[in-house]
Amino acid sequence: MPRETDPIEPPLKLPRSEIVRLPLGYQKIYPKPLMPKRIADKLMVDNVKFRVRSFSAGSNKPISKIVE
Amino acid sequence: MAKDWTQYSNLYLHLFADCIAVRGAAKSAFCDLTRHEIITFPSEYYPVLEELLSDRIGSLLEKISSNPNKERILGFLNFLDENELVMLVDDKSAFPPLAENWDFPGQVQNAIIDISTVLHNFEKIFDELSALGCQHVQIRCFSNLLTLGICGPLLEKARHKSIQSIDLILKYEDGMPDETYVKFVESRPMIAAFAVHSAPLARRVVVDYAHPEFSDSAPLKEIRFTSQVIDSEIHCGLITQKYLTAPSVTTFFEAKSFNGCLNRKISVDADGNIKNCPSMKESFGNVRDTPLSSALHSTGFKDKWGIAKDQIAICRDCEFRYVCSDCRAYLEEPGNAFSKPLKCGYDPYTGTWEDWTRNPLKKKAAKFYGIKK
Repeated sequence: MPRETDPIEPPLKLPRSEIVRLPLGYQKIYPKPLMPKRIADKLMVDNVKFRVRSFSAGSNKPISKIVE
Repeated sequence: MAKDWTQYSNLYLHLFADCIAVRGAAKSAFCDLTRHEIITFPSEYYPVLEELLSDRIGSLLEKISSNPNKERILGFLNFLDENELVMLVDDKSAFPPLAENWDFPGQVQNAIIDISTVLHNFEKIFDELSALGCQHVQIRCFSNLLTLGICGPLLEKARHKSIQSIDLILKYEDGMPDETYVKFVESRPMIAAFAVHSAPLARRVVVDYAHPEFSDSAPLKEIRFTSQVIDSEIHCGLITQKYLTAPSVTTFFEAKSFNGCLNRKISVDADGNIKNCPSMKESFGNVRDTPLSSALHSTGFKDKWGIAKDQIAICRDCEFRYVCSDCRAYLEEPGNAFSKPLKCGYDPYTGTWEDWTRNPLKKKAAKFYGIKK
């Protein structure tokens, strides 16, 4: 059994950006994010799902509500 | 694909801290504060949700094994999983809820300045707003007084201040080509939103796509032309799906503890009166002779900042109450500061939206405010 501080060889195909070099001299493969995209249309019963957009540069809430 | 839940008997179901369930009368909602989404579900399932989050998966499966609604409960469990609202954990105490704090590093967060027949002293107003730390300003012009030619130099006065963004709502200028509007916005990154009212043709003109490859998706910045004639502040206060705030940690917890519209807001109406909102009657002075900071610190100015949705009749039963920006200027019961916004067409007891102007119960209040539509 390898000890925790033993080097872990990354698979050759793994992009370098996914390898995190830790200060103790060993390498660890950083896991990919495990968050698949939601399927927007997958609704249950009478559920409604919608996205509310806002301009990122401006106020994050409506300043007034005058335009129909 | 549905999970085989028997494999996870020893684990607990845990609602992500940034997915907050808000119980409403007919429908409830998950407000996803990171993905900025609202996902609704029938409120009959709310007790089911509480039950699912209360015990280990194994115990839950045992409990529901003889329940006649077993399939529906499992269906809801799969709905939570497929929408990535929940995760499986062995120790729930390691995942505390988000702190419900809200604050802002300024005395005022946003401001509305209305123009009709008088052009205010914007240099003075912007200086005073900057001293209060105001970040977002909306300028609404009901007449042709504020043309693009006048507006350009006026916006220059807002630069190098605390103001980060300006929303413009201007009246359409006859014969002005779209390209002029586009160039106007393009050359002023401070403009975050631009609506042109009284336009001959309602349309949206894109100023900037986020990326050329994503030209079929929503643009980053656009000019909205509307044929709606906005000739006074009386048109404000609409509560529609469009005006629900994109759920985020900041806006959600602000709306939970404070008023979604008036909190940290100051306004200057078309006559220069300093108010909480131009549509409100109460004035705290005039910009001609009263500094904004004096008005802000006047007795009563901040009273309405703390009217949260949980205190408002009907709204307190609405699943959208923490993503709604509210309106305290036009109320169903004009004498009751805690009544539902007049211009809200949502009925949380049926979970349906309707045109508020067609509701006969609202006609008396609309007449009181002089709303003719």
